[in-house]
Amino acid sequence: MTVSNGGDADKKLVAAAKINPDAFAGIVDRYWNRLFGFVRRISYFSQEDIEDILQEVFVKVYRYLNGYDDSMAFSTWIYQITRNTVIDQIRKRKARPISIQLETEELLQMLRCGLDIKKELETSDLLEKVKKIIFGLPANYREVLILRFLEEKDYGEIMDILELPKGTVASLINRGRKMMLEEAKKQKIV
Amino acid sequence: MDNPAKKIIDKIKVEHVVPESRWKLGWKSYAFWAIWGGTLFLGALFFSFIILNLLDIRPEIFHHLRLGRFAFILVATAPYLWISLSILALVSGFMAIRRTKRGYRYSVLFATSLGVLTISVLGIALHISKVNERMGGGIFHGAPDRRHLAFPIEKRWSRPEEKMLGGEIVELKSEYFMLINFEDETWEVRYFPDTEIRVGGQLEAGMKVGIIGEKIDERKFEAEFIRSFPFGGFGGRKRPPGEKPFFMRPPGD
Repeated sequence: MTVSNGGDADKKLVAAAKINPDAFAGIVDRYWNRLFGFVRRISYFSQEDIEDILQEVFVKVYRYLNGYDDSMAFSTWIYQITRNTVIDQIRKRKARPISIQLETEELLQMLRCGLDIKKELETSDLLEKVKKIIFGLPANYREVLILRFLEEKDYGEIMDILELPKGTVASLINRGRKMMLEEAKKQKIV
Repeated sequence: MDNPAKKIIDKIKVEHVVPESRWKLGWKSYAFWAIWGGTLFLGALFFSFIILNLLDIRPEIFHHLRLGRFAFILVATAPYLWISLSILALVSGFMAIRRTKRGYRYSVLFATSLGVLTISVLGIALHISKVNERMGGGIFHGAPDRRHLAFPIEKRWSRPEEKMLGGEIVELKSEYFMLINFEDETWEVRYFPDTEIRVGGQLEAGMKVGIIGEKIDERKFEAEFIRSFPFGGFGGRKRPPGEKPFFMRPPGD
């Protein structure tokens, strides 16, 4: 079951899933791909691992359905649970998320949006430099920039997903952008 | 993965996973809200004790002591116990509110301001309702040597060398009265027609007063300014069991 409109559709699906677990399939269908991409962007896990993590995420979401309240969007809430589950998994596996998986277009999009570059970037010769810039960012800055420029979340949503005050989120984004800009200047991209 | 929704639904059914109750999911958050309320209430109570310890600070005292000396005495006898405990309650309250379900949404500035405001308003309410006076009487009741930690206001008025003497009048004459100070020493206090007396009536035995003046001899003091203590529950000497307040007619009668 796929529902195309936003928050209202989520609310209906949540209400239905509370009564009938089969209705929960609608939520899984709606969010599976988005969350798959999100986990891939913020972690180093393989495809199989991500699928396992997402199964765990959705079972948790089902279990916690009564804990969801309307003070945030359902999509924000599910991102929050996903992020926390990924962090738990990283801790469990006692490994550091050193090499996140961003595709070439995602790397360029982050740089373009982060530095507000209007022109198209020539990928062939710049790719290594862009990789160096994005992967060189501290993990917390990179995560917030991924949420802002790739997941296209607003400050309020990022605040809820990361469970940080809005001021801290704004400060992380600003500092992250500055770091990118400084590095981009060093690499002579801008 | 083929059809992830089906796999997840199957897992939910096989493992008999059900949505947990709102109460079960939210109890931690409710507990932290309760802790927040409790710590701020305690902070307010401590703040009301601070108020109690600072009530004697009036413009007349600045006038008689001069600012420098009074500032020194104030710093030396500030209610540090209650100030520290109020700050501790504020910090604990902040940490509790941050651990509630949506606590991360509150900035440090907002959560701290809310705590300060709550402690101040509730503290003033506790003071107005005299809860602080009633509760304060029992603090360190069995340990009078530690009582100055809770109520340094008594210590503040036990500095005859620095012009401040306080205690309870036990005998009243036309030109002097006998006073037992907070350290159970008996003092003869002389007063004059030009002595400024602000006790809300006339001097009488059993009254607790603070005096600003000069120490003129061992256990003798000349009063420039006499005022009643700003509250009734403190400042009295420990009266032995069975002893009643000693009353005399006011001077002039």
